[in-house]
Amino acid sequence: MNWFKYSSPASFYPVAGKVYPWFFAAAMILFVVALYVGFAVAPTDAQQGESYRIMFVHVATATLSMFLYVVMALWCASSLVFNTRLSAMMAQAIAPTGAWFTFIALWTGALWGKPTWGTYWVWDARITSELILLFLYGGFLALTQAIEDPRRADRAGALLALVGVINVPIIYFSVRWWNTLHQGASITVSAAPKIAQPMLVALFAMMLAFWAYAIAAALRRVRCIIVERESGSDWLRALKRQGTL
Amino acid sequence: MEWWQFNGYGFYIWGSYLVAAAALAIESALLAARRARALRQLGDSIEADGAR
Repeated sequence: MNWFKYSSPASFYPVAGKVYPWFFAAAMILFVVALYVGFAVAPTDAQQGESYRIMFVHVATATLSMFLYVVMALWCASSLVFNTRLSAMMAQAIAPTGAWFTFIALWTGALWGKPTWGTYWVWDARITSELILLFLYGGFLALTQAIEDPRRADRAGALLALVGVINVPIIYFSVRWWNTLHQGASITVSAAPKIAQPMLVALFAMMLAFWAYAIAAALRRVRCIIVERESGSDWLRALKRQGTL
Repeated sequence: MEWWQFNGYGFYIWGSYLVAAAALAIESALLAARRARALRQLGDSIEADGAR
């Protein structure tokens, strides 16, 4: 199978259209499972009481906000190195979803912070670097939309995204590098989880749900971007005339 | 106390989940609107080329 075939917008467009509904359906099912386990099965936390249930959505979106930025930066690097149109389109398709997830992570973090720390906001290293991530997403979106020539916009956005990727390890390691109010990780690859199994199931189901949603949203958006940017191409016009767009 | 009040943490818990759900719903609505606009513009462009 020649995977490079799918680096062409003409080949990728129909594949994305076929695949994204499955990811969206998987996301909806996983959201229902995560909410059921998280709200009805998982016990009350011994230390945090009920407020810990915010963690299911907070940890999932915060983790994905970082991961999506890295994926976006990889597409940007691919766009610069291979000069492929689809790579830049994918980066631009991921950015808004990454920004939404960062916003949700900050919002839910604030709502968790009030009952736990006594404040909605503190200029803690983890929270501040996550806020910078939101600005980086916003900057990338603003820059790519402000430049009229799409190829120049792609290159400028790619450079910004690649410079900004340095912020991701800063967010991740901030709780180790600085004496922060934000707690460290309860789940690591090297050690057994410190939380009860139903909590773990709810958290992983929520993470998978947000993953599936992010893929579906990015694929839907990249199809929009392809239609916007390839509107002069024969293949797109042929699909439109056939009514199969 | 009722289940949905979560021992007094209901505002924070529901405030988190409702805003997350609203964000995903807004994003989905914006995506649908963007796709409709892109398809309309493509249709207009094809029509304009055909009229020439």
